[in-house]
Order: sequence, then structure tokens, then C-alpha cells
Amino acid sequence: MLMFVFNTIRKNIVSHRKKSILSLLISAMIVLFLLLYMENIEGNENQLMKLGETIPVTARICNIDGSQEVGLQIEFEKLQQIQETGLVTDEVYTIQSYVNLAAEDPQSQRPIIQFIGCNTLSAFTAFSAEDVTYLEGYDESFFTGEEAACIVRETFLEKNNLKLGDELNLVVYAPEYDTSGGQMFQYEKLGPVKLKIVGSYYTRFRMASDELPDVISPLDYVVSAYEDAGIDCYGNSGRFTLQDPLKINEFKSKMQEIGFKSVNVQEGFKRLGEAMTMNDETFILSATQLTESLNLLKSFAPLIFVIVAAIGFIASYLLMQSRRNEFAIMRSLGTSKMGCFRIIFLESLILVLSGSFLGAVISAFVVNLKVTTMGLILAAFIIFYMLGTTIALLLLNRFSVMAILSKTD
Amino acid sequence: MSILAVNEVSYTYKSKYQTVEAVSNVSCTFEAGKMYAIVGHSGSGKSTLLSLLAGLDLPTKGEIYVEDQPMSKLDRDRYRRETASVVYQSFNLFPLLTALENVAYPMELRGIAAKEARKTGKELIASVGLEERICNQLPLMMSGGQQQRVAVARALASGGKILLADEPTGNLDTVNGEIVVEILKSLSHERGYTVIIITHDMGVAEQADIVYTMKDGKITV
Repeated sequence: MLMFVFNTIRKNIVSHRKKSILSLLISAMIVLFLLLYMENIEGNENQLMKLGETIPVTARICNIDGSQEVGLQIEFEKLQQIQETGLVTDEVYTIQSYVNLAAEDPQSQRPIIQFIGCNTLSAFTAFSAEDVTYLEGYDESFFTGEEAACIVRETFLEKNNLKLGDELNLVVYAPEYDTSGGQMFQYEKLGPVKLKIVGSYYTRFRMASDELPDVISPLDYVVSAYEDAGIDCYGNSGRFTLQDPLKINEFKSKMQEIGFKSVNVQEGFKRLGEAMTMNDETFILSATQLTESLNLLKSFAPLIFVIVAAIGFIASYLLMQSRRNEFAIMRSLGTSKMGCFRIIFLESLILVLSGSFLGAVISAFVVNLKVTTMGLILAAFIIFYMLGTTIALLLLNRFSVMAILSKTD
Repeated sequence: MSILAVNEVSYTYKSKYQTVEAVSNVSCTFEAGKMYAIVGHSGSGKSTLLSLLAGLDLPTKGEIYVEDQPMSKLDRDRYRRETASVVYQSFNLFPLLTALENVAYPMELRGIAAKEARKTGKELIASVGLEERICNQLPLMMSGGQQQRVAVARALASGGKILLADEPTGNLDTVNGEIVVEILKSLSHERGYTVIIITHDMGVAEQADIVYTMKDGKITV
């Protein structure tokens, strides 16, 4: 019986070759359209996911009136909390301290040498990584470590008759702040440190040179120096990039929880780093546009599958309608109603599967989709198209055999 | 012993606007080896009766017995596959299958292997007086007479002993009509078939052993 069904289907497909080809092409074209549509959705989704790489969202800690982004007093605990959220990357932090050369450190004298702790040289704009000369075996990565080492300004090196590899004996002082975050120009002594000079840097910007630090050490080393001395450590500046800009709202809410506020110019100048500015306008604009476009495409998807079912119904009905006589002959010869339906259903299914395969093969040259997405789309197409086809075939299979076969030509 | 017995059968169908009793309280019997003719005007109910005899519909009242088995209890698809077959006025061959494929179809439907079905098919085509070259021709390439003879060969292929014919000569010229009637007659008289012909052609009806006349859904001998 199975052989008979198979042979009948084969004969039907071959005998009605024009209709078979048409049915196959309809399926192939719909599959191609669906895959193109899905590629559009997937493309938009990928674009949205990668939007953060194209348009990074950065945030900077500033004082409450937004006038200052460096030279701040940022509670170090807050910087650690920001890191703990796991929402940020490429963090750039600095800590500002002051030092005197140990040999020239009369207790009463105010420290005059700027000493900065940082985790990357990108914290500075007046010079870049190319302007730094390192001792052999060192590079910028040492700033991420905790080594008691430093790079110094070339003029400092010359003035103190030092060279790379020398040891620098310093006495470190932490600036003191008043309760509102104002710098009091009083200093608390951390104690002496010995730093190996592993590099020197040169800056072309003479105007800015006076504000540049003479000594720069790894951030973590400076933090540990503060901890060893039992003195509170404050950040001087902080900026970072959001790891996933799509979580911008979550990030903002976390920042509020940590205690950061929005900039408010009316609050007046304070040195406290308690506010945050975000460079997110372009990202939000692009993300909104992409999301709207994506939502529109997604909202039409169910309708498209309803249309696919409708096409399945109409195409099958029109292509099979003229074959009602054939079905009536089959019934007259003893094929059951179910058997008749089974034959024409399987015939349609084979053509739809072949058409889907053809559409998928053609689309491989046109669209770039994941195999799983393609598989899901093909499965959904087959289900919805065959749903329409099934309804059409059930309707076509309802007839009076005598009424059809008794008609004379 | 009757092979088919129609016992007080009525058939009513409902259209959107009216209810029509196409067959009304009909009783008759059909025996093996005889040729029957059912005559009557258009709308007298003869085609509906044939449809009931072929198991394509069930009576709304009464019962048809096939060798004493009530039709309503039978697998009617199997009945048409193995016991009764129908020949129509407009031949109703599969238009895209050759004559041989048409004749082999009912045998393959019964599970007979394609090769054997083709062999028997050729014999059946020969038995209705057609040449072997017809075997590979499509219905459109054949004359009406040839198509009707292929249709008879296909009916024989079912292997049953009841042959129902609905106006089998209606689309044929006199010569071909006579040939087809002769074949049907020989099937009943020589091979024991129960042949039931629906016709309004009295010339055909006169060849039958028994004639039933239908009028307004009722039957008279």
C-alpha cells in the first residue's frame, strides 16, 4: 500500500508537472522572502547588540556643577562599587598625591611635586603612550600592576640628575579636604617610599606642562600605600565605558544607588566627585531608531505567517481545484476519503518541502543567517503553509462522487 | 440467490431551498449472471439509486444487502475496490495516465504488485477487444468507444462481480454503443457478472434480461 501511495504521488507530480513546478516555485519564493525578512530582523538585532562598539557610551565623574572632571575628591569606595557592578569597562582612574624628595623633605615644608597614581596612561591628554620611554622589560602594562615603580617627567629626570633604573626616595603626602570637598592646602604625611624609575615621558605642550605630574605610579600601588598608612584614599578623576550600553538604565539606577547625582549647575562649585555626566545622546538616538524599526518588523512577523497560511490555502485550492475529477475517480475506484486526502496531502507536502529546500539553497547566496534561525523559519513556513493547504484540501475533498462523475462532457 | 437486494430504500437530500426525496421506498433484487437495465426520465432518481448501489451514498431509509450483508455495515470503500465497480457515461479515465496505467490502478490499489497489475491489465484490455498499442495511449488520444472499453476493462480489474454502468453508451455512436453493450452482456451471461445499466436508451434497455423503470423516485418492473 505504501508503495502504491508513493507511486501515485510520483505519477501525480510528474503528470501535473506544470502545476508541480508552479507549486514548488511559490514555496521557494515565499521561503526566500521569509529568510530575507528574518535576515533584516536579525541584522537589526545584531546592529543593536553591536551599537555599543560603534557608538560607545562613556561616563565621567564630575563635581556637582559639572565644571570639573579632574582634581576631584572621589570616595574611593564609590569607584570600587562602580567596578563591582560589572557594567563598566575601560575604567580610567587617578589618585593625586604630593611628594618631596626624601633628601629635601623638611617636615614643615609644603610638598611641591605632583605624584599621580593611575591605571592607564590614557588618563592624561597632554602626552600619549608614544611619548614614554621605558626601561627594558617594561611597558604600559605595568600601570595595571602593583609594583613600587614609576615613570617620571624628563625635565624632572634631568633636574635631579637621575636616569632610568635609579631608585627614587620620596616622602608622600595626601591632600586634605574640608567637609564640603574643598582642598585645604594642608597635607597628611603617608611616609617614605622607594620607587624604581622604569620610564620617562616627554610632553610637547609647554602650556600644560606645569599642571602635569612629575611622578606617575600604578594606581594599585598608590592605593596600597594609603592603606599601609591608614589614611583615606580619594580618587582624583574617574571615567569609564559601559560594557553593554543597552543596560544604560540599569547602570544609571546603580549609579544612583551608589550615590552619584545628576549635574546641577545651581548647586555651586564643590570639589567632591559626586555627580556623573554621560555621553549617551547619540547612542540613545540610534538605539531608539533601531528598536522602533525592529519592533515594527517583529510585530508584522505573526501577520506574515498568517498570510503564508492564506497563500498556502489559495495556491493549493486553485492548483488542486481542477483535479477534483481525478479525486472523484479515485474515490469511485475505492480509495477512501482519508486515503485520497493522504495522497494529495503528501503530494503537496513533498512539493512544499522541495520548494523550501530550493528557496533555502537560493537564499544561501543572498542572505546570511544562522543555520538554527534558517531551520526555524523553514519549519514555521512548512507548518503555516501546510495548515492553509490542509484546509484547502479538506474542502476540496468534500464532494459527491456521483455529482462530479455523472456530468457529461 | 440475489447478490444485491434493495429493501424499502429511500434517499432524501436537502438543498438550501428544498428537500427532495430522490429515491422513494424502492425494493428490488439483482442476481448474478443477469443484465439489468434501469430506465427513466431525467430526475427520476436512477443515478441516485446507482450511487446507493455503488456504496457512494447510504440510504436515508431502508437497507441495501450485498450477499445478505447490510451495506451500512460494510467498508464501502473496500466494497468498491473488491466487489462493485462503476462505468460512467463520460468514461472518467485518469486523463494523464495511459490506458494500461488506468486499468492497472484498481489492482495496485488492492495491493497487487505493479508488474503483475500491468500484465493482467494488458489481458483485460485485450478482453474488451482493444489492440495492445492502445495500452500506452493517453485517453485524449483514444476514440470515445476505445475510452469506454478501457473504462470497462478498468471496472473488471477490480475483480468484483458487480458492474454498474451509468449511461455507458450516452457519449458513443451507435456502432461503439452496440459494442459496449455486447461486452456488458457477455460479461453477465458468460462470466457471471451482475451488470446494472442506467439508461434512457430503450434500445439498450431491450438487451437487458430485466428492466426496472423509475418514475418520481419509485421503481416498477
